[in-house]
Amino acid sequence: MSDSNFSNGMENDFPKLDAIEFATYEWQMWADGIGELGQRKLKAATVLISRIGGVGGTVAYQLAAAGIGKLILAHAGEIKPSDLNRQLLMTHDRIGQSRVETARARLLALNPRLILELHNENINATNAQALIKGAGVVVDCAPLFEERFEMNRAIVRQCKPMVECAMYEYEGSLTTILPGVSPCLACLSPVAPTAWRREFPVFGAVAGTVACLAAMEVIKLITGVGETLSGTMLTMDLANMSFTKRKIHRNPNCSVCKGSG
Amino acid sequence: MIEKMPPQRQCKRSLRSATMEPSCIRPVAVESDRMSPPNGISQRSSQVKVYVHFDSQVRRLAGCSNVTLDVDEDTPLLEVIQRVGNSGTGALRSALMDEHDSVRPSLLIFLNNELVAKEKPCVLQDGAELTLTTLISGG
Ligand SMILES: [Zn+2]
Repeated sequence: MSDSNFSNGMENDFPKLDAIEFATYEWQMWADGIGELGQRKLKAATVLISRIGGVGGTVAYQLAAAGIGKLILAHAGEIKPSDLNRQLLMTHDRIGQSRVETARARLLALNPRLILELHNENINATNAQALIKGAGVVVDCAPLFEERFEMNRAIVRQCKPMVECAMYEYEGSLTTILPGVSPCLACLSPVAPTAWRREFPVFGAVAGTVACLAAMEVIKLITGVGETLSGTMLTMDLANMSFTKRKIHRNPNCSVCKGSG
Repeated sequence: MIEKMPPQRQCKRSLRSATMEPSCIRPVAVESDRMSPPNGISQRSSQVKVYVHFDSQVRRLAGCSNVTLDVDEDTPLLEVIQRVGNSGTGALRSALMDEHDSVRPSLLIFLNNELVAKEKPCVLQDGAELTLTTLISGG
């Protein structure tokens, strides 16, 4: 799999835009490399987002704004007050109610043409393969390493690209996994770091920054524009506004992706 | 010796430093402690300067953003990491190494912004920039 393979296709493979869509996306179709065909690729795309919290919720919102055709969202549970400093799809008036149903209302208010498939569950060993099957691109925004590793195994098995994005305190990290081409999550770290805790220091603006960059990775994967972060880890520290790109490599003995590609 | 980096190389992190433990890296000797060469002639390899940066949770455990080390030019990378771990708090050591003194598989080691395979032998050039971090998972 390569970036360009994913965005290839015959023009007739992509649905036509209606008049409202032309009007809505006109300004982004002016972007170099997008045009009408790029917009039609976005309309044809299905993206799975694991968790729609501080990072995933903003990824979903940006992709809905960009005219992605379909989003599959997986996130269990109901809204808590402590979600509301960063989970921008959630609202105070819906505390105690379903996160994914709240997201539905917010996303459709922005883009009523968006097709949504909602799952009131988190990624696990039982559902990962089935959820990923329906998506062309996956975005991993889960706060637990167990979920991230499960997702990683599933995308490698199905050879689906995954944007891997995370944050901690003032920092963020981002890479794009192309199975068989670039390192998978287990190549980087086969086990969770010992110090990681479920509750972590977080600002919504940091999560949102990472999310917007992740949404751009998705848009690039789908349209074939630019270069993705495949084989590169972008890290950022918003405490001092430093951004660093680092080269990463596949582990030839990786227990997950060895032999793929 | 391990020393904290001069001010111009240190990140300005006044917000963070207010809530963090005080710097916990204490100076340790990193000069050669190897056996003398077989012919008995005292030979000491020249020293190189290595800049070690800590990111994300490793920085929190280290209590500082970076340290500078003077090490023998042929010191293996993994030995440098062990020495950094042994010079810090138990929490830092535990993030870098397991109970057998082996570098943890979850530790990400970047040498001059390129991921280093832990099993590959590697020596450090003068001025090498080493970053020690782990994956993060906040979503
Ligand atoms: Zn791998």
